Amino acid sequence: MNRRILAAGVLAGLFATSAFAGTHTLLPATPTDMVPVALQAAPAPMPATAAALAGVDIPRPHAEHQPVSVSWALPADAPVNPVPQPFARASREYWTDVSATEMQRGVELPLSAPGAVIRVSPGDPKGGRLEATGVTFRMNGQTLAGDRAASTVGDVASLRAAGMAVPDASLVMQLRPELGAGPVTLQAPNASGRYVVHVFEPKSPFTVTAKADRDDLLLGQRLHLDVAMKDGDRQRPLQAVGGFLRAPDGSTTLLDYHANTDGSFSTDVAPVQPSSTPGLWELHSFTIGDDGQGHAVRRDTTSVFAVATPDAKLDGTADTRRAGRHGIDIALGVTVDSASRFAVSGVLYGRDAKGRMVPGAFAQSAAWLKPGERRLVLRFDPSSVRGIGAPYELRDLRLQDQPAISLVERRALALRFDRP
Amino acid sequence: MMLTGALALASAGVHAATGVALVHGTGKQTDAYNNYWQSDMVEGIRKGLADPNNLLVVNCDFDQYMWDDRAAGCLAGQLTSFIQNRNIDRLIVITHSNGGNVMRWILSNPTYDARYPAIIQRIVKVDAIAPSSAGTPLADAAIAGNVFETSLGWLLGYKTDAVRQQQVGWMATYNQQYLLGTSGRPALPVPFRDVVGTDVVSAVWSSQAYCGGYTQSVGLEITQNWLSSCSDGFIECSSAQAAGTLWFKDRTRTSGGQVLNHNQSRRACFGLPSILANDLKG
Repeated sequence: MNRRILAAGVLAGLFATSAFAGTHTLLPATPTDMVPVALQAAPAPMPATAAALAGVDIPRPHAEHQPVSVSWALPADAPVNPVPQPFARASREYWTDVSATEMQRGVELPLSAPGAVIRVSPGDPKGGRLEATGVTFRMNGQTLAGDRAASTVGDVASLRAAGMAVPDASLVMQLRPELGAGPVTLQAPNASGRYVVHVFEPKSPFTVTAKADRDDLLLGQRLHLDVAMKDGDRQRPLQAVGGFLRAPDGSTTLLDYHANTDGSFSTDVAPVQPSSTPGLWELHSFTIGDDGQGHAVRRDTTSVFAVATPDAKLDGTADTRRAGRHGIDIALGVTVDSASRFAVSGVLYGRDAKGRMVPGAFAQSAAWLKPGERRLVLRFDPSSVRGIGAPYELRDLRLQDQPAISLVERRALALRFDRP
Repeated sequence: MMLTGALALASAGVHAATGVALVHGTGKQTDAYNNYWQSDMVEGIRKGLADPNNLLVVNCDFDQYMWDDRAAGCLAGQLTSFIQNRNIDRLIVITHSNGGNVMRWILSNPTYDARYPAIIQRIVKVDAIAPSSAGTPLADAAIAGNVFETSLGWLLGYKTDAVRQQQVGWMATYNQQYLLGTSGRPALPVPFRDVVGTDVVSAVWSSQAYCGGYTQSVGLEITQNWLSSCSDGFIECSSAQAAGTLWFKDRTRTSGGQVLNHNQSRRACFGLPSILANDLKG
């Protein structure tokens, strides 16, 4: 496979409006594409000085101003899937935050299987530090000190050495399997301050999965989330679900969930306020169900997705031309609301020697664009498209605001053309 | 190769050379030579170079998101200086753990920073040791509690954006939105070759457990609960193989067919430095 890369520093052709042979209109967007309808001004980033005064270490994305364009050949036998697949994972764990008073009195933790792993992390690592000998577990009619109830006790040093970045003064205990399941009361007479208690049940058949219908959206667009519980392969009804939306800057919004007839719960979120810092958004769901025998089953789950402010969009125009003997340039019109560095990328498909449509090359071009009608040119270097010929298709077309680390437009199949 | 970018070789006809850059994982490093890789590992790899001076040990702040200027920007700066100062035209990058994610950001977003294309042009391959390409459940387990801690206004000294980024859901989203090289996404511009640790030996009677330091057995007993049966104690095999192509699984190349836990895969254990050194010549 040819992996030569073309890099151009200052590209005279990046904004060229002449000498393009073919004029085209982008294909209509499909329901799985993400296309801005109306543009919005990008949020002003949190000033570094303000962040420093607030004691906040904010992320520092790069803001390049030099135009850059690259391309490289792709393996013909590795087709590109241009539609992102939302990620979902089955949860067997839950968290709860408790006060010192509650810890002194005893905190009831529902357990649905033997061998649970219980982590206690104090808010005040000095005053709130606990030892395994200083906590007790009361379950199934017996009371045991932590070091007797646990088959393994881990402290911060051992857990961090194993790669688990637990908070300071965390104490982790894995309960002995012979203690069984059911409700357990965790008690710490010397508790001080507040604690996060994390319960993980690696052997439990009860899982909760939250499935979103997408993993990226534009401000104002809606994401639908279904939350369901399973006992092995069989669905079980949930009793209650709550949760909140967390933006990258830490701001949170409480969510309402509604029950479905099959025992699952659903919610819809439509962020309207942009985050002041880049990053991904999280949707935290907290659930309560039961094991069918009267014992509570608690699970928490997190869904992750990207939210972009639509501060630019492709205007639907695309001009093509032959670049040199075998290269192909595709100039794409971009309507810009807020000045930023925008990148356009895409995969050029074409027909191979056997007549099959195969991926030929990937190209990406970026430049700092001011508000107005602008252009970015995807430049497929001759060496990158050597293995394919007409007809061509431009797939997985994406427009990114690079300093915002955001994807503002995505089209699975954007363009078909025969001759550049 | 056509190049009209920010970087050109010092002058036509200059004798260029092969170089190797070692890119550390999560953490803010100022002396990765001693604190992350250790001398035996670095010097073992150096033996594969015709010019032993053509080795760079990167020191950056990988407590940040991969795209942060203190992470990818710092890495790009150090690689650019190394290439220019040593006239490197054939660069092999060896990454460990989250260092693979920072390197993959550069390879996947070649226009994000004008320095990236010239770096990519010189890279002949990335040897990614135990990369957390699909994240690790241990990051989820460690950080999810911070949702409460954040809401309670608690300040945690051990919370980093790099850990947040390595949550399984975060990496899944990044892989689909901004990164290349995973299944269904366009291929990376250079080979990204995975070295995968498949198991952990922590028995006190096994000499194998002591290479790289025996400090983890108790912690591993607990953390293994979050991981699949094939893992190096921190990264599941499926995550280490999620991007690029498999180079080798530990047992197939290490001396005695030993496994490499996550700590051992950055240390001079079971012939790993020689494997990496020999690869510099290929």
